[in-house]
Amino acid sequence: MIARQISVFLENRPGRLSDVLEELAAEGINLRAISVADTTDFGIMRLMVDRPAEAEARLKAAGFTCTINEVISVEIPDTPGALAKVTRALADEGINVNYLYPFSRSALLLLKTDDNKRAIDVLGQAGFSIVDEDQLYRSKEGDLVK
Amino acid sequence: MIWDKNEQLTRDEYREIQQAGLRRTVQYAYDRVPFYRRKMRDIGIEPGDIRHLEDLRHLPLTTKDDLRHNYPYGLFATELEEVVRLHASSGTTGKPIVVGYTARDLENWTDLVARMVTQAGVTRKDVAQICFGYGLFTGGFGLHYGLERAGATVIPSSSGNTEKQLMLMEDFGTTVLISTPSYALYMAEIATQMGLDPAKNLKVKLGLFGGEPWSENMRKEIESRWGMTATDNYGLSEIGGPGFAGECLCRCGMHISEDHFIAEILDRTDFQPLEPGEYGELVITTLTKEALPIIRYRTKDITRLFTEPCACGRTTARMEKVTGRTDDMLIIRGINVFPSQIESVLMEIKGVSPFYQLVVDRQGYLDTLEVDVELLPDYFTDNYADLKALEHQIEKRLYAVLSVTAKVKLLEYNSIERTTGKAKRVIDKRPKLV
Repeated sequence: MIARQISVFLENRPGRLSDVLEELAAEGINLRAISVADTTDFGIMRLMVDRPAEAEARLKAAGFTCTINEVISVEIPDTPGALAKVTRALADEGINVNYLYPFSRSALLLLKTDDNKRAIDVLGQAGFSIVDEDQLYRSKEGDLVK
Repeated sequence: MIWDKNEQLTRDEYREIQQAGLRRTVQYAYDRVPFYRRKMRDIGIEPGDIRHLEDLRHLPLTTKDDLRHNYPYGLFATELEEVVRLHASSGTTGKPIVVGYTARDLENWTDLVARMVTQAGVTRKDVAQICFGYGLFTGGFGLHYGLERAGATVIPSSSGNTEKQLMLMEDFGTTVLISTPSYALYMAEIATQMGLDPAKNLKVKLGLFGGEPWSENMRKEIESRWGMTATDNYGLSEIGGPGFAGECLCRCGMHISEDHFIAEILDRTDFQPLEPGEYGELVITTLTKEALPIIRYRTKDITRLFTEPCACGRTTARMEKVTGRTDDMLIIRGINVFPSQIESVLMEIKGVSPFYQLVVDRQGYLDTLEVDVELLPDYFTDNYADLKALEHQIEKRLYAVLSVTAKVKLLEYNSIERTTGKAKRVIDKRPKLV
């Protein structure tokens, strides 16, 4: 169904992502999905949160340029080819996808940084668990997803 | 070689020529240009009051804004049918400054440039490649006719397409390079990439550089990369273009053609004339211009004058390399850019705030201009392509007005500091002139 998403216009400079996230944390808002595209000078951060209207108000009050808009949330089975079926159905009807990103109910994050090795050390020291690649593709029961 | 006997007069003789020229010019401008008549009447001066060279200080100053307000032909002293050429240079807002030449003005201009290139060492044996843009800019055509008159073989290659420029240079045996100093360095860089060593594989032995200020260090760099002698020259469209002043091979200041111009140096605060050797703003009066006589034009360039005779045998006063500006004009790759021009473009564009910042830098040897503007929150949609399109729209419009490529960067609203005082609009990261 249609779901509300918050889009935030962000200059690409250190600390700007944290500024947004800290505002939301202070409001007690929980993130469910986030997407930040590869950018040059500026980018658009897209967020799915539990209380969109409050999140928007908070961000605007803090001076961020943001807007609420609508996206479609689609449940797909965790099986090979499931996403392809979604995009094929749209393509066959001539509908263009501007962007898409996953919404995960357990929070596992994929990051690409300037220095991945160092980022792993830093996050590990900060108490986060870093998941190995082979663990990523196992179901909760420990079986490799077929 | 010395081109004109007028380059070797005594100081008293220059004084006489200038005094007579001043009287003539003031009467001429008063009779023919309502703007000058009005300005003189406003302060109660008649042409007959200007009898001695020292009386020059009583005349009002003329600025670029005066030329702009009288756009396009308001300051012309002749009918348009007498004008045979127009050139233009950047104004402080959207409209350029227009300059006109009668046939006699062109004749004088050509002769002054011939004088200038001769004093820099150009002879009939030289092959001179002009890498200035041909067009409204006075540099291309000005050097072209002057070099021809001096007898050099001219290659009117104009600006751009550096690989081809270097190919012509190698094949045609170019000995003299005419360009901006930064383009000379850029060309050397491209030559190296093409496997050419300009000092060894090319015959260029002399460079005449103008259009932008450059340092002595930059001169050394150009000379070592090209294996050439690099000379400086100075001119501005408002007073006719190149040919006002240029270096001889002693390179101890640029000889001013004092039989055609009066150069004054004024104090930057009270605008009173300063003595030779003292730094101030260069103010120029034309003595022979027919179409567009100019009285006391404020160049806004800071320099100083020397009047001692030069070892080359010339006795004209010399001006030092320009060391700075009294206004906020930027020179980007040889082209004058005023922040106010950029501001007027941004004001026309929907979706951005009136706050902006200009970042000028140098990549390799070429200047870069970045224009940072704030996106208005109401114009933000979730669409990345819309934002990119807005950037491109502004870039296109800026190019149309400035003739310089600028990169536009969208910033978040409120990220440029608001100030109640004079806004810091320009961040110039280029190395300082030494």
